[in-house]
Amino acid sequence: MDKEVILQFKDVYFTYDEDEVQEKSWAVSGVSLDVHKGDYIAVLGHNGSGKSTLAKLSNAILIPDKGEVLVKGIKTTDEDKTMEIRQHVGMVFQNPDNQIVATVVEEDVAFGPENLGLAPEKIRKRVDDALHAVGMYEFRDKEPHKLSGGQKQRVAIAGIIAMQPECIVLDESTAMLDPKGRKEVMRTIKSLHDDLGMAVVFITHNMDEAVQADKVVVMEKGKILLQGTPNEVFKNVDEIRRVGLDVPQSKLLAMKLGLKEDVLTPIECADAIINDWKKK
Amino acid sequence: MSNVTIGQFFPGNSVIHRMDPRMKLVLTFIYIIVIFVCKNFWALGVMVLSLLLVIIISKIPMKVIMKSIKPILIIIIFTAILNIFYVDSGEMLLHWKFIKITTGGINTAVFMIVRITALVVASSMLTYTTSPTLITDGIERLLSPLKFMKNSVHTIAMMMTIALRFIPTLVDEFDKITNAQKARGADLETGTLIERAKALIPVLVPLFITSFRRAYELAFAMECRCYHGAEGRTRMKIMKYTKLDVFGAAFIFITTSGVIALNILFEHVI
Repeated sequence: MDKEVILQFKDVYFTYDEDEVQEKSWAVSGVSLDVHKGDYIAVLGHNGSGKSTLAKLSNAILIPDKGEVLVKGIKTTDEDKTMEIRQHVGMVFQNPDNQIVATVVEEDVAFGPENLGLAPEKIRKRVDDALHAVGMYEFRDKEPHKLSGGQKQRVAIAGIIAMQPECIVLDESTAMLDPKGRKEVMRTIKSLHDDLGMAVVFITHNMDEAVQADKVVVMEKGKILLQGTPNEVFKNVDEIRRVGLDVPQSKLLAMKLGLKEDVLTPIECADAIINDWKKK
Repeated sequence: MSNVTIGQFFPGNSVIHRMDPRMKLVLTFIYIIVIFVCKNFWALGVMVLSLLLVIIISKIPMKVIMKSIKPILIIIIFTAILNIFYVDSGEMLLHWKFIKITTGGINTAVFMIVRITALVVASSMLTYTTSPTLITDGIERLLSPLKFMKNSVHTIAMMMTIALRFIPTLVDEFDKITNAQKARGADLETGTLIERAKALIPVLVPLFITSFRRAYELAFAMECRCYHGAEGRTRMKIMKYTKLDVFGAAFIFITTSGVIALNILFEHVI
């Protein structure tokens, strides 16, 4: 039996052009994708490939022009259930500064649950749990503007998980952070997936972050170009380069050395080289 | 610039700080009204004494209090001078050509100085001991029983919260843009006032544009977190009146009764 499907794109088309739609102007054209419970999917693509549009389609911020998006079986066109959809699929954006609403960390995390109309004790518990999950509990009464970028982004993530969604969509959420902040956020996302069993859709153009995922989807001109496990996808070096993306450096090195093993991270690469050496 | 403090909140843990913001708002309001009820120096004295007591309990340094009076110093002096020359009652102290100074005039002037100062210090005490977030929250909750304006009260409170939240962000942004323009050779520090104001335009235009972009993104993020106005929204923190608030209310009640009694007992100055 397959795992439950949380987010489903069914042959989705979307354009930002209001008037006569032409073949070329589709921001997303004919995308079909299933996100199951507990999936970790990285969506890759360079600027304008439609990956951010795909994110906004996932929780009824945008409504598809053709095809449909289903969140736990609810169509995103169903206006009465928009709140329910947004509760199931949480979204974290690029700039942490533009997502934080309140002047105190814990009050910001409480913003989502407060909108859901939960009882105060319940909100308190969710806020504490969410802050523990992202490792920001000791900063709960700080002012957000006194935190680092990575910390702010973790607060933003806590704000989403306090709504207890089953899927979290991160739209280039590491793009504005320094390397340290990136690492913090990546670690947080991994623990959300591993420990809380949350489905993660991670939109990025950083290859080294994409290899962490269980599945990689490469987008180009609004269409899905490649999809599969990181190993399957990154084998298509030429194709990936053609659409203006890079292949992880360790993968590239291993391929140049003619190693047969599947290599994605620097550590795997080092192991493969040592194994190869031993064989010779 | 990450250490910008919002408002003039002076953090502390005194009894005054711990009082419910709703009660503080109401009591400050009452206090201000009572100041205007005072008709003689005895009554005014009671008000000043009670204010001093509050200041001492709150542990806010006098230096900080003085700062709040500074901006209105000119108004105080102006009112005092006007009163000295304008009021013509009581004994004549000086009469030279058209200038007349009377005891009545001096009394009124002194009375006005004390009154305005107490008024400003009292309202500053509210902002010194309550964080801006709590003040907005307090106002929202005080006015929320008014059903017909519940939504607009919530909207205004939300706008204030967001404004407070974005002050440090925008200050940062302003700094960045200023530096970027300076790096391009903009001269922001020399010249006449008008020239300097003009030089600010290339800083303010980008600031406005990025603010709009931020607002747009923030709206998206708020929608993603199920924000849909005041309807069906609950709050994590519940405000509760405690014993402190009862003491506070009793204190203001006693002060007010004292003022009224002294108003009746003694001759009116004003």
